Amino acid sequence: MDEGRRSALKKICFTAAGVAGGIPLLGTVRAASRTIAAQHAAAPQTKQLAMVVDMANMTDEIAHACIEICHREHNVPKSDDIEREIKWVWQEEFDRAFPDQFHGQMAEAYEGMPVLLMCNHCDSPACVKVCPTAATWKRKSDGLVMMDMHRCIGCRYCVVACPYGTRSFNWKDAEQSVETTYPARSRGVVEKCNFCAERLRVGEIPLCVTVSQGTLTFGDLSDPDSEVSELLRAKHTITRKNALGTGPNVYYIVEDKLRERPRHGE
Amino acid sequence: MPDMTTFFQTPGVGGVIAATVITSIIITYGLMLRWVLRGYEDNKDNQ
Amino acid sequence: MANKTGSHVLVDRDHLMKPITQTSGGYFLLVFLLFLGVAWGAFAWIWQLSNGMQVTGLNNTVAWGVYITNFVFFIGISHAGTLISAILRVSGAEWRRPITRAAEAITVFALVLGGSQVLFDIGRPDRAMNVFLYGPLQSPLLWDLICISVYLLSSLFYLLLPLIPDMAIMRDHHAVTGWRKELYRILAFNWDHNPEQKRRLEKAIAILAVAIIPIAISVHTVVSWIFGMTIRPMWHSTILGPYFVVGAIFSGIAAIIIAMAILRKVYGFEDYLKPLHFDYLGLLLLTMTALWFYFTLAEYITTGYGGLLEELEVFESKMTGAYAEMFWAMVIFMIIAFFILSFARSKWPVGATVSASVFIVIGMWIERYTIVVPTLNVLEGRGYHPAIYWPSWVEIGITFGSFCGFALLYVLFAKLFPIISIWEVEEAEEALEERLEHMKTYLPTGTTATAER
Repeated sequence: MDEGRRSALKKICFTAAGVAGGIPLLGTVRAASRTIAAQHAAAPQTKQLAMVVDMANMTDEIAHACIEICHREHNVPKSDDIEREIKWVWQEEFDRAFPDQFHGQMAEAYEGMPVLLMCNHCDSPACVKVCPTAATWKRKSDGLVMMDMHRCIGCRYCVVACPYGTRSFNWKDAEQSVETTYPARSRGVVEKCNFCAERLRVGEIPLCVTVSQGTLTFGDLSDPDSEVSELLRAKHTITRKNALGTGPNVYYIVEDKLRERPRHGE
Repeated sequence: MPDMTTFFQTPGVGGVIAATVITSIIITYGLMLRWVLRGYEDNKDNQ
Repeated sequence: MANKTGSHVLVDRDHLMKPITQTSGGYFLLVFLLFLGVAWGAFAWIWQLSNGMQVTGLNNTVAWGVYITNFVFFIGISHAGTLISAILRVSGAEWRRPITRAAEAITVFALVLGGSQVLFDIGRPDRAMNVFLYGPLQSPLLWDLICISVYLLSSLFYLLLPLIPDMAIMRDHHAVTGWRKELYRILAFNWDHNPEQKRRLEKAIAILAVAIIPIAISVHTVVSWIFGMTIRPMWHSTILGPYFVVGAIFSGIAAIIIAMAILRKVYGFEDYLKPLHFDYLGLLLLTMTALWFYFTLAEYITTGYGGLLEELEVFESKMTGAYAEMFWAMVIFMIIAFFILSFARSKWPVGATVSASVFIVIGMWIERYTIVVPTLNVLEGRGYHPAIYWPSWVEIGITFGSFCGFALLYVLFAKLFPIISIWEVEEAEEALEERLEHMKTYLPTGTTATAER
């Protein structure tokens, strides 16, 4: 009798151990609870750095300058292989960057219009959720999605989880560039745009913003008086794949490129 | 209620749980094997 | 052990041990060829380790490919042991007896090879320990780590437990000498065939058989959740968990059928692995084929009918686009298997189930591939039109090496341990008597039932 009860208990224990794998689910349910109401909330409670890209005034020259300075200063290796190229910031055509916000009846200028893309530093980042070593994480102090290339094991789960294609894997060793002190990465790790965390630390703004001639605006969303907050209130902006609920923090001003508009800040 | 989100996001928690589960499974199976193999002696003791 | 010698079930122990006691030239050749395959895979891996992941066909759009496909595939195959041993044991299917050992061995080796695929895939295998040191429970990979470790340990133990009495038989056998006798002595753990030991052994096996079923289901569910928990089109699907479990059991049965057929031919086990076993397993396989079709239909018709923008991209790449050949090859393979199992099984149980199994195993590998790759390949937004992923020679080499490694482990296992459980087959008759007694308790015997009424 006692024996029987013991074996029954054991069976229960083993079954419990077997289904224990499902318990972590509870955690992600809460982490992912981004309701539409939450998305409609005016401003985040804690500091959240964000970027506003003014597509109406962005030219190819400006975009190239942004890409150039970022990749040079961050020691991003050049590559001829477009599919393995490491990209922190790059250009993509409007209809492919915003497939869910494009339709054939749009003004011709939109189709093929280059858009500057970078990591969205999402509110609920898909990459952070899946990382098995917490090598990528959401920094509480300013909302940046950070990346520790010394901890990364290169499983590329974040690369496949990110719905924006903002992450790049180091397929081979990179050489230290003489133009910058930013350390070269060893092969086998993932990297992406970090909103110039190394510059923010010493009170400077991201590199791309410095050469953007006013088309990029950077600041704190939780501060209603910040430049980004004011700009977002004043203009119609969109974010990439908004319906996925990741809450991107890179906003795009979409105004008819054909219309003359006063440049922001002028 | 403690913030479960933080718990699930804390680096190392998963590793510790994995290590604990693996260790306890090994111990359980070890004990089970011992219980099976000592069947004869235990039986003698009871008589 | 009441009827060790007086059994009516004729077990020729010497015959069952023949693979262990005698080694033919063909065996050495087989081991040598498999070893060559493994060496080729090892060379490919060393090449990859020294040159980096640039030697694969992967890129920043399709960052997961053949390795992850193999991972899912092998973990799926590992469900062979669970189904045959655990489900058949729990449900008391007597015909399972000669099959259990062969099935459990598949589980262990498939898990080992499946787990290795992750090491082949990651860019910094030297840092793999970081998962233990820093892993947050939030990542589905941690769930996998936990569930697969539990499953591997459980199936190892589940392989070991029923092996103990056989180890004792081997230890005491006259033909066994030298280091092998020593090995069997150690693995027999002083087993002396006494009834109390055996009673406890049976009990432990019964507990484990029950426990291993939810563990196995959890394993393939969390494997599917690696994909299902993301928000990528056609990965993020609620059906993925059960779909993967069904597929796993499906390919697992097919794998065990192929293994049984080879063992039967190579070692002359026709008397132990009879057409009936193939017929019954074939029937199970047929059921799983139907179930697989149902799940596949449910998944694709919902996606295609709903027609969400991103999902439709993936859907069309499988139906008519770049992955259509693979997708439809898979469907045709399964249809062929279904018809073979339906119409040829009863006439040629062995030939029909084995050929259907080959179609199913290949079809299931393609299924894993067409789940992993197309979703990644449709991603736009990186500034170029992604080219279609195709594995490099390194990936193919490592895959080939993995399959050879799996076969090699299996072949070496069959060389050292009885691949048909000797004591369990011998015990069948005893169990039969017990069953008869048991049947009398629920069938009309013409006494109590009528009297009470």
